[in-house]
Amino acid sequence: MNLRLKKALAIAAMPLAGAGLIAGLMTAGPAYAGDMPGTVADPSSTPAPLASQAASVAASTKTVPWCGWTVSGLPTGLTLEDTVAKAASKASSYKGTEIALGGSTAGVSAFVSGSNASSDVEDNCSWYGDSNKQGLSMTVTASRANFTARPAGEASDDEGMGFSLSETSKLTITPTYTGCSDAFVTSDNLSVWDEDLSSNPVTASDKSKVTTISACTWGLTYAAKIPGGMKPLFGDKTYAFTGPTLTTTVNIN
Amino acid sequence: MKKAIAFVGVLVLSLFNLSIGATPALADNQGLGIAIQVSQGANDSSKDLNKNNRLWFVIAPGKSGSRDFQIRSASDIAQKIHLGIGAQKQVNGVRQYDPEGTTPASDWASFSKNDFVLAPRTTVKVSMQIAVPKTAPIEALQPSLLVQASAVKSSEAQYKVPTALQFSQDIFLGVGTSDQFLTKFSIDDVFGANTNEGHVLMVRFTNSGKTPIALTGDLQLSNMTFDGVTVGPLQFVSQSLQPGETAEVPVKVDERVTESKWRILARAQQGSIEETRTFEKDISFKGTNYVQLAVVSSLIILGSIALLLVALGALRSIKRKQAEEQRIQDELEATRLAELERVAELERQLAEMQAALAKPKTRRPRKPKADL
Repeated sequence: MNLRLKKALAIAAMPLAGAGLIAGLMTAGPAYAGDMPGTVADPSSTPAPLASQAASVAASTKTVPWCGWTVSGLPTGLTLEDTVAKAASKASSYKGTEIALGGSTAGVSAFVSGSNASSDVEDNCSWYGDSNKQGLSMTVTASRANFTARPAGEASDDEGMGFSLSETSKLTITPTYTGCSDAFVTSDNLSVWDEDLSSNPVTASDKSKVTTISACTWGLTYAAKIPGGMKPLFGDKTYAFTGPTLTTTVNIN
Repeated sequence: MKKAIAFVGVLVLSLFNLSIGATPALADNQGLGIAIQVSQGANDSSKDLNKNNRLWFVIAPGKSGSRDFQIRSASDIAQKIHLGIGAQKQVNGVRQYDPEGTTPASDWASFSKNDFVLAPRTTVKVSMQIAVPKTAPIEALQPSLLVQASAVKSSEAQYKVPTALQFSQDIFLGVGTSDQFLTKFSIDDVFGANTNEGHVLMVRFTNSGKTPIALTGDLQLSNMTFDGVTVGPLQFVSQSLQPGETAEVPVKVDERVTESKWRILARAQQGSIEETRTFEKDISFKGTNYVQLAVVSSLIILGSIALLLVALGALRSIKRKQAEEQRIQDELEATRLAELERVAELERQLAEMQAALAKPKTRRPRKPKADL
């Protein structure tokens, strides 16, 4: 081909390519950032008409279990330890100065299943129609905002050793999530204190995202402080400290 | 002998590992873990409201209603179970248990068993009965069923925070007769839309009754322009709609449903209550299929980049060829100039030589002879 003609074609192609790029980018913006409507019913899932059902009356089929939400692995109680004494392999003792307490647990999970175990098999259960899908919203609520202290062998608490949870001395609960499916919205801070006695670790309230294998697993790290300056009623006694009852409520709707 | 023992040991360990690996989901769970599952109910005064996995009741004052549910242990320890009814509140559009709220329904409910120990990995069936007093006012209540699991034995650690796991399942309780709590809904419209899933027909419903609904139904289409073209039944299920709510349910259609005039028979059902409505509409699919748009725009961008690269490549090739031609021309010109210069030099030398030959000979003056 004549060089001049070739050059003219190449030069003519450049504004075309530029216009194409601009057009492509202009359409790509809304395509990626646009509001994605939810899923829709699939006509391929339309059940067979009654006539063909009548033809198969002799056949038998097994139904899969109904899907439902399960929560498991929640510790029966959070056990805290004196972190400094533990590091020094010593028994915890209070001398009027602050004591840092800490602990952790793992393997708490919320999952959809048809049995008492999680599954990654999609037909392990069925919601039997989108209208039966259930959403989940979890709330952790503390029964009160203080720790009580009871000396060994005594029938009542020592009020001088009890302490309150305040903004500067919270019961800090930090979750670490692993492998949460799309339906879940998680929260990073579940700490409780006198002005905030409840928090939401996870929610899966968008039912369009809930599947038959939705699942989320997390661990908890928790910490609290026994303040300094308290005066025990008894010296040389072992005190047991009990915090508020933390109730994890799983709201199903 | 030692080798045989080692072999058996390895074999036993391998089988042990295999058995653990085969059941990862049932790993030892020493924590709290439960699930609750509401069973579908038989027909009663709730008028088909119980044909689902929800706790929906319509009970007249002085009457009672019941529903069964299962509590499933997902734990390897025994758990203490307590059942009750609690109040709910709405937070960010989602109903949640309200620990500080109260509901009259808490005094009306009784359970076939309560405050019992749920053995590890077992399932217990419980029946809940709600008996509404004769004096109760006609109203709609939305309390929740509470199922609380806690440890049978409390921890004896020096520093501890007790925990409990509680499930809160929505209840709709219409206090009144079926006539006072009519299940009623209307099919308002059917229209086309273009969504990420492709072309759909949106069916709009309004719950005009006093009970929640979750509709099932279908659409049957016949083309009014081309006789004999029929599509359907296309089935759908709706999310649950509270009284007064309106919702649009998408029903996917295939390529047979083109933009033209269609007669659409819509049928929707809540239990034994069925509504039908026929629409004659010019269907068009408005809106944007963002997935399709993303694919098309990506293709345009890739095509444009390819065209740009080809054009740039062609220009570079033309430039290279032109430079090569220029170089050859320059070399030829240089050769020509050098040749011209050489010719000029030769001509100059020739001219000099000719000039030298043409010059007349001059006699030398004789030397005077010496005197003898």
